[in-house]
Amino acid sequence: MESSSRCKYYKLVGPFVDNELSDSQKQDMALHVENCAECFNEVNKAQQTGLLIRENLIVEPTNDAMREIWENIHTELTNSHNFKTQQKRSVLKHFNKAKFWISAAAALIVISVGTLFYSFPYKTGNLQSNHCFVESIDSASASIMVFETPKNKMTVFWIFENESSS
Amino acid sequence: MAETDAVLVEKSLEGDNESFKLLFERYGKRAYAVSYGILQNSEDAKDAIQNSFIRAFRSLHRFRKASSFYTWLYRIVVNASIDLSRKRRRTPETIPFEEGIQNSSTRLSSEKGSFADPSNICRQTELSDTIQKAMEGLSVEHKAVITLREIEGLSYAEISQSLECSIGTVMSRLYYARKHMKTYLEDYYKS
Repeated sequence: MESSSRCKYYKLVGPFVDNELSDSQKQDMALHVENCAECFNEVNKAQQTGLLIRENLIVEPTNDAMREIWENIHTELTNSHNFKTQQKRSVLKHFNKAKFWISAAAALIVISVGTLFYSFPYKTGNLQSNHCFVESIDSASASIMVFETPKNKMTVFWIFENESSS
Repeated sequence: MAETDAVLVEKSLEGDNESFKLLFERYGKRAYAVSYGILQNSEDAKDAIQNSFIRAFRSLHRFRKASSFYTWLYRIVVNASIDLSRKRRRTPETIPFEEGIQNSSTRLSSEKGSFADPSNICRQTELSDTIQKAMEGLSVEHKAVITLREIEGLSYAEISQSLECSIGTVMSRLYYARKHMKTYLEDYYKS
């Protein structure tokens, strides 16, 4: 615990030594330090502490050490850059390989979904009463029947292979 | 004429490694001194500045050119050193006796331009050890404050920015750190 008999300027010693007081505070403190033995002593010790730390704690690395550090930094940055480029390349390579299978799977999905939604009236019995028969186009090998669903406003085609052709 | 930090940052952003190397050469040693002050271990200090410069390079695009590059780098170095200190909690390295004597001898000889007095060498080595012990007794936050103030000579406002804390906190940490150092250095003060 701090002594209660301590000078009231005591706490300003640090900022005074560090030149962190305003001009008027600095003048007051300078005057005070001249007349207060305790604060004079504290200012002196604070300045010497700084000096001793600077003299003994500043360690300058050798040029070899700095070179070694830079080499490590350079390697790390170069590797990470290569890694990113490499990563991009590898993703593209895999995408190219998978492209065929992705396309095939997508086509299969489209066909399946299409079949489910627009299932043929003849086979599944989905032809409702509101499906409106539009026309029948007959040829030697096949008959094409055209229906229109009023709800979806969609035309449904169905191609029958004529028995005679098979 | 040497290129400004802003120009070197700009060129580094365009992928010019040489420009970033120049920034490293300009500030690497100062960054090391700060890191060593906090970590008290040369290997850890090396790791910390290595990580700091890598981190700085990767976030260069976030650096606002209006501010000083080194103030921005300070924050990264201090944070990297504090992080590393918390992670490792390694004991500070001890300088081998002969090396310590050699360092002190070189320093004293170069200062006075003559052969050093052996008693001075011993006293110098003892003082270095005392300062290191005193620093060991401080928390990493207190070490950071005293290093930035005494070694780098930053103002309270700059320290508060670097450590992302208030000026009041900086003042109280500095007050405590100095009080702590004083108890160890009492025998070395000249009246």
